[in-house]
Order: sequence, then C-alpha cells, then structure tokens
Amino acid sequence: MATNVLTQNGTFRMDASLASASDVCPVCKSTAQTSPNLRFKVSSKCYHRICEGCVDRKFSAGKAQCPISGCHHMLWKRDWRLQTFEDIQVEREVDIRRRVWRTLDLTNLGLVEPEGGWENVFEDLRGYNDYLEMMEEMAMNLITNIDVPATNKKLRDYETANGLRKDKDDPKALLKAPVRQPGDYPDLSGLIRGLKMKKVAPKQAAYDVWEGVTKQREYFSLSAKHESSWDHYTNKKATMAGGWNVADYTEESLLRAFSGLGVFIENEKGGKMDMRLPLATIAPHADDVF
Amino acid sequence: MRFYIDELEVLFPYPRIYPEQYAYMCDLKRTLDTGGHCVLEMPSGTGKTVSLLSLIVAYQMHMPEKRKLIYCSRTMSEIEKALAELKALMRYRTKELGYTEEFRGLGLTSRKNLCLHPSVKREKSGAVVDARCRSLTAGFVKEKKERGEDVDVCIYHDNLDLLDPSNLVPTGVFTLDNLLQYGENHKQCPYFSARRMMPWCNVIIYSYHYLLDPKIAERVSKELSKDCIVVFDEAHNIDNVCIESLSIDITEDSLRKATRGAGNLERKIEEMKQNDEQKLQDEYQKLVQGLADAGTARDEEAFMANPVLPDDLLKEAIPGNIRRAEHFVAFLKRFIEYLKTRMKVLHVIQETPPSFLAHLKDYTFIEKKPLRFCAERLTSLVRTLELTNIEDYQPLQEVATFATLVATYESGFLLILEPYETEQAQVANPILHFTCLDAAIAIKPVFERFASVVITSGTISPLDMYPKILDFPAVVTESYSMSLSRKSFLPLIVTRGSDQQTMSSGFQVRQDPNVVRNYGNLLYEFAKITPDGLVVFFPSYLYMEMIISMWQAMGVLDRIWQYKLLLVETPDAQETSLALETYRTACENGKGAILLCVARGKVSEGIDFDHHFGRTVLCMGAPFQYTESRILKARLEFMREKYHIKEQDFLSFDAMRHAAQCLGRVLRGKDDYGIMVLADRRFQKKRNQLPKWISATITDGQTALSTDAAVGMAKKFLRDVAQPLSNQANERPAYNEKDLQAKDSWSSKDLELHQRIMKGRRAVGGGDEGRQVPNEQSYMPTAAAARDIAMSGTNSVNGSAKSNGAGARNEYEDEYDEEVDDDALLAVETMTDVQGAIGTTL
Ligand code: SF4
Ligand SMILES: [Zn+2]
Ligand SMILES: [Zn+2]
Repeated sequence: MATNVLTQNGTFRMDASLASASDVCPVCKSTAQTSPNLRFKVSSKCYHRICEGCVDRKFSAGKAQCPISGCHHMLWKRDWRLQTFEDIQVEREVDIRRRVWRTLDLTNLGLVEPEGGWENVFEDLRGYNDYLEMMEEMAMNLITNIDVPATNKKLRDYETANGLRKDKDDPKALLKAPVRQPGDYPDLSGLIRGLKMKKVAPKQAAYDVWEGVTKQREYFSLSAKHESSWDHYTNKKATMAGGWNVADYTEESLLRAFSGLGVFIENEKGGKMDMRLPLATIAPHADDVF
Repeated sequence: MRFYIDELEVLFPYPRIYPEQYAYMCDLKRTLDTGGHCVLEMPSGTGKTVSLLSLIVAYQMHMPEKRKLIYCSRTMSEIEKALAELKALMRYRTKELGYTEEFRGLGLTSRKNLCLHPSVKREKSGAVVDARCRSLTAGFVKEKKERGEDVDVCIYHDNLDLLDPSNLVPTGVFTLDNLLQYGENHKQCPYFSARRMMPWCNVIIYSYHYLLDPKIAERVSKELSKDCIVVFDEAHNIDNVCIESLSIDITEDSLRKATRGAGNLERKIEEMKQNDEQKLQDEYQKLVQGLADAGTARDEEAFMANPVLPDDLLKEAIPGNIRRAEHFVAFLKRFIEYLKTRMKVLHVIQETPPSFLAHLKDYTFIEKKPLRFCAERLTSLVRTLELTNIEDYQPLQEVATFATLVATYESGFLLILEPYETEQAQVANPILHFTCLDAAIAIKPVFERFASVVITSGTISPLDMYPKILDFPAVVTESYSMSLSRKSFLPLIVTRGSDQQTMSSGFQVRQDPNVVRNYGNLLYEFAKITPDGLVVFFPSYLYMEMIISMWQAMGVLDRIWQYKLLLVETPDAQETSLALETYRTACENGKGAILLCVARGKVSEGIDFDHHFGRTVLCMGAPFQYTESRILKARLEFMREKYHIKEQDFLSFDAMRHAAQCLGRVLRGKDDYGIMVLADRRFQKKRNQLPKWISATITDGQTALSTDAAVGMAKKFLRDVAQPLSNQANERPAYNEKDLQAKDSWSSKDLELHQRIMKGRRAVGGGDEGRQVPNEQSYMPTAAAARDIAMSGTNSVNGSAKSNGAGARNEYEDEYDEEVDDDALLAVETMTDVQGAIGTTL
C-alpha cells in the first residue's frame, strides 16, 4: 500500500512502503497478517526489498552482505530506504534519472535559467532539444543496461572536465575547481553542444568612492607651516589629547574660505552643471587670506 | 407569408406568425447587423427554430457575403427536426420566388448514424464504429492498397475520391435520411460526404460537440470561416457541456489498461525497428524539424483527436526527450506509474495543476513541456506505427489528453483525488477527477473566432447569467413572453399541505413524515383530477427513492393506484425507456399514468410530454444540486473568485433552470394546455427567476397556496380549457394595438399594422429603441395584396419586443438551502440505507 503523506510545506511525500496483502518478506517471511504495519525497505544498490525489521537486525552492526541469496552487494544500513513507487523498476529508473539529471544540470556550469526558460542558454531551440534527447539517451542506456561503461565514462569525463567530481573522503568538497577562462565554452568537456558563449563583460573601472573628485586643491596649496598665532597650541598636550591638529584645522579653514568660488548661481539655474571657471581666471583676485 | 424587417425581406413558411416570433427575428437581425453575440429566450413550442432559420436564410440570401450558418443542437432528433424545418422553408422559398436558389444545407452526426458499410454499421457502440471506419479509411491503408497489398478498404469512402470534391452532393437540403438514401444510391459514404462538403454548405446542422469538444472541433470545424453565424439551440445546459468536454476521470482500471496500451506500443516499436526502421527514422526527422511540418501530413482522419494546443505551441518542435519513439513510451509509462502510486491515497486530495506539476517533477523528472506535447506526440506515433485497432489505445489516449491539459492550463482546473466512492465505503476505489471549473475555456475559441454567436433556448433565465459564466459580451439579451389568446397553462406555487404545514425538500424536513405525507397527498389529489398523464419531478434519485418507500409504508401508493398507474425513471436507460413506453400506452388508452422522474435525469432533458401525455407536471421540491459534491464546491468557489458569482446565486439559478426545464416538458405548443405545480416553500421567493413566459403568468393569487387551494384552482382551470379552442380572436380584423394584443398570432395584415404603429411611435419620439432605419422608401411589399395598402414609411423596424426589459431580474437575494448543517447532511447519508428497497415499476 502506498500513501501520500502531507509534509509540512504542503506537498505530498509519496510512500509505497506499507506492505500490501500479498507482500511477504523474503527473509523472515512476515506478512501484513502476521505483523500489522509491516513496512518494507529497498536497497538503493541492488533494489532488493526486505522488511524493516530485517534491515534493523542485519545491518545495525555495520556493513553486511545483502540477505537475498545470490546477491553479493555489500550494504550499509543507510543504503536501505523507504519505497516511493509501487513498481521497483520505476524506483530504480528514477534513481538513475536523478543521477543523470543532477550531473547534467546546467546550473552546474555556472549558468542561470534565463527569463524564457533554459532553451535560451542555447544557440537555438534545436540545441536545447538535442540536449534533452542526449540526457534521455544516457538515462535510458543506464536503465536498460546498454553501453553502461561507455555512458558512465561520458558522465565521468564531463564531471572531471567541469570540476564536478566529488572528493571521496569529503563528499561536500569538489575534487578540483575548474580553471575557467573568460571566453571559454561553458561546458569544458564539450559534451553539451550548442550552448551560447558566455558574454565576456567589458572590464569595469575600479570603484571610486570619491566619484571623480580629486584631492588636488584648485585654489590654494597647503604649505608645511602657515604663519599664524595658534602655533603655541600646536604642541600642547591638552589640545593634542582632544585630537586637535593644526594642519587639519588649517586645511579645513582654507577649504571653507574658497568653497563656492567660481560657482555662479546663474549658470546653475540654466541647468548647466559644473560651470566652475578654470583656475586661472579667478586666481588673480584670490588673496592668500593668511 | 412575406414581410420586411428593415431592408430585409423575410419569407416565412406559415400563413400566420406569432408576435414573439416576429420580435425574435427583429432582435436576431439586430445582432447580425451589429455583429456580436446574443442570448435569446423564447418559450418552447412557439416555433423558435423556424423563426431562426427563416431570418438567417433570408439574411444569407440578401447579403453579398453569404455568411454560413452553423446550427448546433443537442440530440439527433433535434437535428432531424431542424433539418426538416429547413427543408420546408427552402421549399416554400422556391415556390414563392418562382426559382430554386443555389443553396446547400446538410446535417452531420456520428458515423454510427451515417455509416453504410454493411458490417461496420452493425456495430453497437459508436466508438467501435469510429475505430473500425478509421482502420478502413486511414491514409496508410490506402497507400498499402495502391502498392497492391491485400488490405480491407471501404468502397463507400474510396468512391468519394472519384467525385468532384466541391460537389459530392448536389445543392438542396438533405435530411439525415435523405443523405443516407443519396449515399446508398450513389455508393458514397454519407458521413464523409457531409464532412467534406462543409466548406460548400450554406447551413450546417450538427451537434454541440463538433464545435465545443476541442478533441473533435479541431478535426471537424477547423476550416469554418470567421464570419459564420453560430447558433446554439437548447443552450440552457451549455456550460455543463463545456465543462464535460474538458474534464477527465481516471481510475485504477483505466491506468492498468493504459499501461497495457503502452506495453503494446513498445512491442510495436520493436517490431517496426526489425522490419521497417526507416519509418521511425522518418518520423523522428520530421519531429526534429518541428511539429508544423509534421502537421502537414495530418490526414483528415487522423487516428486520435487531441485537445487543442495554442497556435504558437503548434509551431514549435516536439521536445527532445520525447522525440524518439522508445523515449516517449518510457515517458508515458513513468507518468502512468506515478499516477498509479498517487492513486493509492487514503484521504481526499485537491490540487491545482501547478502544484501537481511541481510534485510530479520532484519525483519523476517529468517536466511541463514534454507533458504538454503528449497527446500530439501519441497521435504521431500511432500514425507512424500504422495501428488500426485504435479502440485498444483509448485509455492511453485519455492519459495523454490529461497530460496535455494539465500542463496547458494553470487555472480553471482542479485535480480531485477521491479514494472512496462514498464516505462509508470500506474498499478503496480511487478516482482522479481532473475537472474543468471554468465553462468559458471550452467555448472561448468559439466566441473569439466567430463574429456572431447566438445562444438560445426556451429556458435560459436569468439572461445575464450566461454571459457571466461563459465570459462573453452579449450585444442583445432578450426574453419573450408567450402571447396567448387563452390561458393555456396554469402555474401554481404550493407551499403548504392541507394541514398548513410548510412543504419543502430541504434537508431539514426531508424525512419529516408530515412533509412526506403532504407531498403524498398532493400527488394523490392531482392524480384524482388530472386527465391522462401526470409527470412528477424529484430533486434527486436518492430523495425519490426515500419518499417512495415512505409512501409505500404510509399507504399513499395504494390510494394513488386507484386512479393511475405509477412508473419510475431509473438511472438505467433501458429500464427508463421501458417505463416511458408503458406510460405512453397508459396515457393513450385508459385512465392515464404517473411518471416519477428526476429533475436532472434523461426524462427532464429530452422527453416531451405534449398534450395528453402530460396534463400536470409536479415539481416535488426545488431541484438544488447536492452541495457536498467536491467538484461542485470547487466550481462554486472558482466562479465566486473569477466571475464574482455568489454560491447561492448560482445554485439558485441552477435549480430554477432545471425546474423550468421540467415545467416546459408539458407545454409544447400553443394548442397544448397543462398545469404546472411547484411544490416547495423555496419556490415562493424564486419565482422571478423562472423564464419570463412562465413567471409573467404567475399572479400573486397563484402563489403560497395550500394543497386544497391549488386543487381548487386546478379543477376550475381544467373545466375552462375543456371548452373547444376558438380562433375567433385571431380571425377578427385588427384596427389598433389593443386588437393586436388580443391575438396570439398575426396575419400579414396584422403584422403590417403592428409595423405601422411602431413606426409612428418612433416618429413621435416615443419608443425608439435606438435602432436605425436604413432605408426610407415607402413601400410595403407583403405576400398578397401588398401594394394597395402601401403607406408612407411602413417598412420600418419593429420595436415592440422590448416592452419590458430584464429589469427586475437581478434579485436573488434569498438563500439557497437555508440551515443546512452537519446533522442534516448526516441525515442524507443515512438515507442511502433506504435505497434498493424499491424496484422500477411499482
Ligand atoms: S467510410 Fe463511411 S461507410 Fe465506410 S466505414 Fe466509414 S463511415 Fe462507414
Ligand atoms: Zn523480514
Ligand atoms: Zn541485494
């Protein structure tokens, strides 16, 4: 029997693990009659099906051989899981598909699904359809046991070239990040054909916090020392403790004194921005206030 | 008679015309002139079909464009009737005009009715006839024959190719019988003759499905041009037809059969790979190029019909992962397996298409796009494999159609998975209902494609409901009352029994013995006074069975048996037709009979009880739908959200249209008479929702009656109508409006007078309805002595039809089934126990 279990996010988890009337565990011979709520688990390696109790008994101690006679698969307890589909063949088929699909998923190549769907990362619709057919072809080969080694090799080569191979010891880490050059074809293995080249973005200038304003002073220049009456503050501990600095103070005073110089309100009104006159035109009138 | 409406001369094949027929034609013409759609309600038995045909044929002949008329009706017999009317009309026109017009009118119905092949036509099921015919007429069969292979073909079909394709049948009107006769004489297939001649017809008469069911429409009606005039007659149920044409039910059994079908396909593909690999390769190449190219190979009789895909989709190529035949079959199998597993639920699930698709993708890696192309791809495959035993693939095709629909429409559909047939059932028998909630989806292409669509019926009130639920703009909506020279029917609303207790079939009181006894008494009293036939309608089978068994226990039935024979409709068609036959015999000779039937059953929809076959019709309870149905609930909710129609309004509308249908069963013409009893307290407030021709005759004195009062009025009515029908009023010459109103039919002279009065009124500035008067010449050519009465400006439009507009029709403020609570519903459930205790004939 299968049930659809409503999960928290509102979708249904399909579960075909509950024993039907005719189900018998091949290991302990339990049936739904002898033990109510009998559930079955499936091995994801050999797709044999035994009852939950047997899984617990045989695999709690660690890795063991599949209890079905003639099957030599070595399995962990985690290799046994609840059944999703009634038909074990479909269960297997979907597993294989999952593997092929995950591997050939275009996001692995750093692509993003465009507005109009994935077909738009290809040169044309034909290319996309060919890609779909190729995936189907590979999945079907694996499912029907045709050219299995060759197909697996293709997939492996693809993974290797694109840096998708998982590290055996640390499944989360990739074995080696691919060295992608700008202007490289998106699939480094060349398996998926017809993809659009990624546009190489024009080199952008470094970000400028000052938005073009230079530090260069137009109307005055700071000398190391200006003649003034505050000199005696300069080295006083009390003033310095407050952070007061005569050089900064001088600069700010000068900035304030000259700010707005060469800016004419009429020009600004006319909508013309940045109408400052060149330095030379004003300079003669500008006195050194200090 | 001949007369003018504006500039248009109408030839009407009868010497007299009913005022409502004339008004109907005027409005129809107005619709055709302005372009756009209309809703017209005209009482049954007042010659709606002939008015419609006379006007439209006149229009076709007058206008240079020669717009084609597509007349859709529901049943075979209605199609036959319309063809006969058309034939009579054309005969009259020929006689009047003195020459035969170049005109062709054909009817189309299923192969089952039109097949001539000696062995195929003997098949009982329509689907088998279709399938066998296809296997004899498919394109590749013919090719094989040409290559000299020994294959069976149909000679009737092959002969067609020897004829001029634009003249397979000569001009004129052919009834279905005529067509069969002609086909037999010339050894040509009537079905294909009619279908291929459609582009060369002036009038086509066929069933709704040829236009509404997308699976059929694409094949049959694709080539009809935009300016066709489309008429849906008897259209009061059109929304349900629309919905059914897009809804699919899937059961475990059909999935099993679909799997078998997929297995067969797989085997066939293997075989073909061994023997004729090239064919598969060719198909593959075509699909790689794009569907549009593959489509050109689509022959007239492609094997399976598909729900329409939007045009832009059709231009696209089949998705790569289902291009190869074997990939596609694996795809189908996976989809079926998924469905199978989903079916094993233990609780009810309701899901929208997007949620279904997301879940499907998670579990099976099936994407929306290939799913969408499923039906198209299957058709192509079946054609490539040259399969002939199509009927075996029916369930598979259903799954493919479902796939296409679910992936095409995001809204307006709902998936409902019900694991058990009834709440009490112990054994699961899951059904996946893929239901269309929006009637507008199926009919939308029709409204969009054709310039004028006419929706008409005897009971289509309230008129504004149809444009809402079908989502189209109507330029004219009109309801006509029935002009009668005598009171020929008596509607009565009975709300109380003789003991003054309220009568209702509402859930609360359904099982109340007093109410049941009161209903029994009502029936008994009317059985006593009604001559000949009496027809009773109950809201549902369940209710009918319950009430009958209670009557049995109370002895009510024994009392009724003294006066009449009792017969019962059942869901079984054969039993029902037997009951009907017995009923008719009993009405013909003897004291008459009572037929107990159900408001939504076959009888209420299609059987006429004219004259003595039905002198009284009794509605025992308002026929509300069972509101606990999940499908209905979903549809109500959808309509509330999308079209802002309140649940109660729709339920009330639906109940009243069915009640009106039931009432209309007994009055099929002006010379007929009958009593209409509405026995439920809830009818009292809803009488305005009945069609105008009924509601207008209900005076306050005829409402809120007790059984006794109703019986008294009925007795008096029967005494009055028993007087011989006099035609005096109609024969007296008319001089003014009042005289005209006293008549229920007009001669040419009466009509002229009416037109003159209307013209005059408009000149004064009065009742102008905003219609234009296209030409102002003053002539008045009518059939007989036309010219001597010629008066100035009398050829004008008539404007009377709108004397009372659809003003007071929007007030359905009342409740639909008050106080329905859980207890009441439980009561309904327990009622099932009563079932089965009762046989067919009592
Ligand atoms: S072609 Fe016509 S006559 Fe021949 S089998 Fe088909 S329907 Fe019948
Ligand atoms: Zn076990
Ligand atoms: Zn194993």
